[in-house]
Amino acid sequence: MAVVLAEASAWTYVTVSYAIAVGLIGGYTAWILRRGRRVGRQLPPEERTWS
Amino acid sequence: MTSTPTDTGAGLLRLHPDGTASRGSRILGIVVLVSAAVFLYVALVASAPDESLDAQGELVRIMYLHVPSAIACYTAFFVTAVASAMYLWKRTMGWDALAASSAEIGVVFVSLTLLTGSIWGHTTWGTWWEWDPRLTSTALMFVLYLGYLALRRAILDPVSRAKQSAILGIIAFINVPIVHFSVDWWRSLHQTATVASLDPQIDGLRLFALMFGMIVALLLYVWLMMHRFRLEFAEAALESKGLDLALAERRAEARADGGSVPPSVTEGVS
Repeated sequence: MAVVLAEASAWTYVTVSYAIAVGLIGGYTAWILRRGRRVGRQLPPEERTWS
Repeated sequence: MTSTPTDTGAGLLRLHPDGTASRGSRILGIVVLVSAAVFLYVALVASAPDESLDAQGELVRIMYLHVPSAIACYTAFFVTAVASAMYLWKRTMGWDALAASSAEIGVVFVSLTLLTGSIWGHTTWGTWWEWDPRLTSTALMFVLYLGYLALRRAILDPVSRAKQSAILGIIAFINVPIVHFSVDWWRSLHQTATVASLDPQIDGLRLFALMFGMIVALLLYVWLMMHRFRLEFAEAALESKGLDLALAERRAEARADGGSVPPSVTEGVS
């Protein structure tokens, strides 16, 4: 029983770690893409040299 | 000012007309997404728990996140230092934009390193935080680069901002090797390098998960850099346009008042 609890607890820490990674990277990515669209909208197309 | 939408591509490769994506960044984005899915499968499902002498059990899976995010932040800060040095040499704003973009992404990765490290430490050492050389130098690295980003926001003049942040970008990098070698130089609670030697402490799918995690983190860094650098470039272009507009308005006001244009308004206008 103690082993089962220990394993469950370990998985909780693992899950929280991966959730933080997905949340942090996902949130930052969404922020960059959204801000890029907002700022890009104000630039004339000829100045968007990447597209 | 609005632009005409120029939609290109189809399906997953379809680009947003106003965004920072290009065909190349979209392809790399798909590669990163697929690689991340494979990484999650290997790290969480396929690889076995650690049952060695100092067994971590399932907790070893946190290492597959912790180490790659540390490698990505080292890379990001290295790029910041090189781009800062290049700015001081060439004095072109592209290097400044590259340094700033990389520093911001590095801060995201170092945050992830600290958070996952703290969770891992709590489960293995029984404490969320310890003033250990590796942890303390990593926290210092985090604060230094937050300071770098704060400095960029505090200085309004683009040239002065670029010069001063380039100097800080180079000085802050001195701490990066200290972070990496701290476990060798001082007695530390933190373990030494897992794969630095030819005889790594892990093998099989666990080693693959760790190495593949590093590749995915570096690919993610490159993809984020493509978007963040373009955003920085666009913001700098708008800032320059705004400054030109303000100067033109000030000159028009001065002419309307019948006076001469003050030297401060004509300075830096080409």
